[in-house]
Amino acid sequence: MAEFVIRVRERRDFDPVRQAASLRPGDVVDIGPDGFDWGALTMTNSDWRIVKCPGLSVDALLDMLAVATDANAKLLLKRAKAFDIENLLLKTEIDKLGQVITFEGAQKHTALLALKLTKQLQITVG
Amino acid sequence: MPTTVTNSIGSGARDYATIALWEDATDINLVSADEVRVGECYNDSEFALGAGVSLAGATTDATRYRHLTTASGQSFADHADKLTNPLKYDQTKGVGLASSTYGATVLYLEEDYSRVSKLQLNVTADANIGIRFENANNSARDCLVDGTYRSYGFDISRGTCVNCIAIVRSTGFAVYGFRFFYYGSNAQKVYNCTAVRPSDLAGTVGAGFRGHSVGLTPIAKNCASFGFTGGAGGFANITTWGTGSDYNATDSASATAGANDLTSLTYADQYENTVEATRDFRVKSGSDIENAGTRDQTNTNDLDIVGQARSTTTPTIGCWEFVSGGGGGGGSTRRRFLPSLGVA
Repeated sequence: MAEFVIRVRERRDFDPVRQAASLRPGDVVDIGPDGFDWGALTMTNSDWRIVKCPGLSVDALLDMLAVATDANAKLLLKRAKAFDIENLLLKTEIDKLGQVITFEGAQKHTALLALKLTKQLQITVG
Repeated sequence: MPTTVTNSIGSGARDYATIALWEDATDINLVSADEVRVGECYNDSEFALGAGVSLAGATTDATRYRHLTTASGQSFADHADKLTNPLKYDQTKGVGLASSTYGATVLYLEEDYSRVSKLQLNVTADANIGIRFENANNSARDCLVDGTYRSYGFDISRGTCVNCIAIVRSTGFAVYGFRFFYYGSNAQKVYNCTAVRPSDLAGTVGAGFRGHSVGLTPIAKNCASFGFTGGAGGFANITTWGTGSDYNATDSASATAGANDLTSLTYADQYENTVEATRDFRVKSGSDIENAGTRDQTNTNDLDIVGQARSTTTPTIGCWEFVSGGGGGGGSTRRRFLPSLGVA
């Protein structure tokens, strides 16, 4: 029984060096149960969308909150995975500009979960 | 003069429901915005942090930074019964953050100048870290990390802890309350902090304060470490402690080599209750660490973990100030001078 907040736009003045670990479009900001009260400022943040998936278990999304670290637990990325928001399934809904997107039914849930991407880490040596 | 922008965080119709939302919304250039961003948590319910939250990415400096704390009256540190509540994790007494996710760092202070205060953490999974610090100006003040975590309560690459307590309750691994790692020369600083492991726990024992690698010179001042005598000890694996390390106390045989360190103390004599199930790490009357510290107004502002006034001459060692009869100031010289007279 889950819904989640997803970043859909690059933050203003994004700095690819300083904010290399920060959330990027497609990253899940946080996950909550069905009917979760996300707070007043979440409802008006145009960088985010609330995606409601009634009936989908929270457990099916928890991997989207995992961070990427090095062997010494130093932070590399705040999110190791992201959703492919260029896929039409998500892009169409995001482009409608409504703050809340609803994916209802097992078939749509399966299609949504298939859009999970594992990020490629770029490691510079030397 | 920077503008302070405060947002409420909690599940009771606040600005943001979760800390992760506040963190992402405030991951901005605070220097160009000329802002301090304060996230004030409300104790509407326990914050389930799962994989943890990292304060990373915002552009900060000494006067423009992010601060995660609690709203007034929402912390264990300003609870109505703070002086009598057992000093341990109890979310009913104040904002509590919990994580049971394997390998998670519950709060990660990566960007410089970010800070946390007045938070309780319940950390219970393998390879969990309570609060990790990466930069020289990261700090934690008046925070409590309790749990069966199997890594570190406070993991300090660089940064400062003041009036913090790590309660180590793991039995299967050598866990450390405060770990110092990576950077050398006085990069890690702990003032009036406490590390304890309940006295009745079996299993593998770690250390209260421990260096991860050689060459580090952390500063430990007015710190207490008890319950680690069967493991690496109260203050371990540091060859040379940083200048100013002194007035520490432990039940182990050695501390930081400060001239005024107290060693081989009796654990049960120091705290209200050292047993796991009924643990309460408020300092009790007649303890050896009462009136045994040195004033550190610069770092503690003469206050303890719950805001009690510390003695301005001989404060208590550790995060909790013992205040006789609810008063403050003054303080006896019994513990400091009687041993030199040959009185136990």
